[in-house]
Amino acid sequence: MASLYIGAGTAIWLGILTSISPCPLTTNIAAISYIGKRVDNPRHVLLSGLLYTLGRGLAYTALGALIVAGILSIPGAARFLQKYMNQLLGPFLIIAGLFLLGLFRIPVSGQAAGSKITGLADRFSFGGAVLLGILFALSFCPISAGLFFGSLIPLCVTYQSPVLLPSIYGAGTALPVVLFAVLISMGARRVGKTFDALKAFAHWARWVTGVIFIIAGIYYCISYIF
Amino acid sequence: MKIAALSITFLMVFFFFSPGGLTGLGVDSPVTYSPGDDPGIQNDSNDKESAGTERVVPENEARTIVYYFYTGKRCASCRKIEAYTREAVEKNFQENLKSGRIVWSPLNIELSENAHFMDDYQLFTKSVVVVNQKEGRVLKWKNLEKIWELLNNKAEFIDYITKEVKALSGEL
Repeated sequence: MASLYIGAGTAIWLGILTSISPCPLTTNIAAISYIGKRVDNPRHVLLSGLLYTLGRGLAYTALGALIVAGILSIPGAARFLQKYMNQLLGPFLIIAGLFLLGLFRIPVSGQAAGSKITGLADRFSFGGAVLLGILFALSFCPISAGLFFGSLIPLCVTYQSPVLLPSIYGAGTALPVVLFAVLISMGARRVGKTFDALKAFAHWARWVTGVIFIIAGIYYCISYIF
Repeated sequence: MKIAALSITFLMVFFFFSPGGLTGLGVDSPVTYSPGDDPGIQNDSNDKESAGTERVVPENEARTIVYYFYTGKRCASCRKIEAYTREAVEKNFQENLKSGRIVWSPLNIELSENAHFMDDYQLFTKSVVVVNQKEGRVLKWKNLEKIWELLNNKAEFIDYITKEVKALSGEL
């Protein structure tokens, strides 16, 4: 049991190391801005952060379990994900950015449309956090591929833990991102003490998030498609 | 408020796409690279060994090749791995490098003649692989997977490479 604690500690450290390394910086900035965009609602920020963590954990757990079970090979999975997920990420981020900027709208008619829209937007936002976690986790760069396939998978085999350790690793990769988002949200609340100021912050944050997504998307398109 | 957002956006676009904008901060910004562009790196050679070394070791004796496998997209971390590995080999195996018992060989695996290394050594990202071979036959090899964990600690990284090269090459 004690050795599993060591394995868990190593897994979370590998996750943090992945997150603070330079190559996932673009996706981390996008994730921080997405999670922290509702600065007027700390509950929303925290929940988005937890769902983003869940998304990352799910992706790594599924991938880790498939590899440990021998269904996927490390070189095959790593090469496929590094090549195609990064190509997919560029257009996805641009489209998501356009949604966040409000260029596309969801048509809702009838009574209580306002509350319906808010409810739908929240559901989309929370679903988006999970999806973002999954997509960003699977978009491997050299460092994340090296640490996940080269260090974490052998650890899972050693400790016979194909589910627990990848999920802990996923939490480790999300930890710095969620922490930053929460700190930014708290900072914004301290600066914008009045309700109106917070509303303005929230509107501004959503707009900036959309722009960040589009810039990150263009960056990924230039780097991996063109 | 929108003017402020626009200004930030403009600065970010400028920062992201300006030459060296991200690489200047050590961010892994992939750039196209061809081996001949970098004077600090030996070119690929068809015999898979580094050119220019004075080889006095007989062909039938075992030799150890330290490969660094990279792709056309280079990043700051990948360049760091290459520089540290090269330093470890050149600093700690000077005599063996001269005699040809140890060979430093950076190779672009995107070149068709090197593509087979991906299957030979089960590569999944940029990698340092130490190979012990005799008369062209591979006796043993190891992918040094801990390089990514030690990337932020140069002394430990060089120590790790040195120990592994010593272990793989046996009597050295």
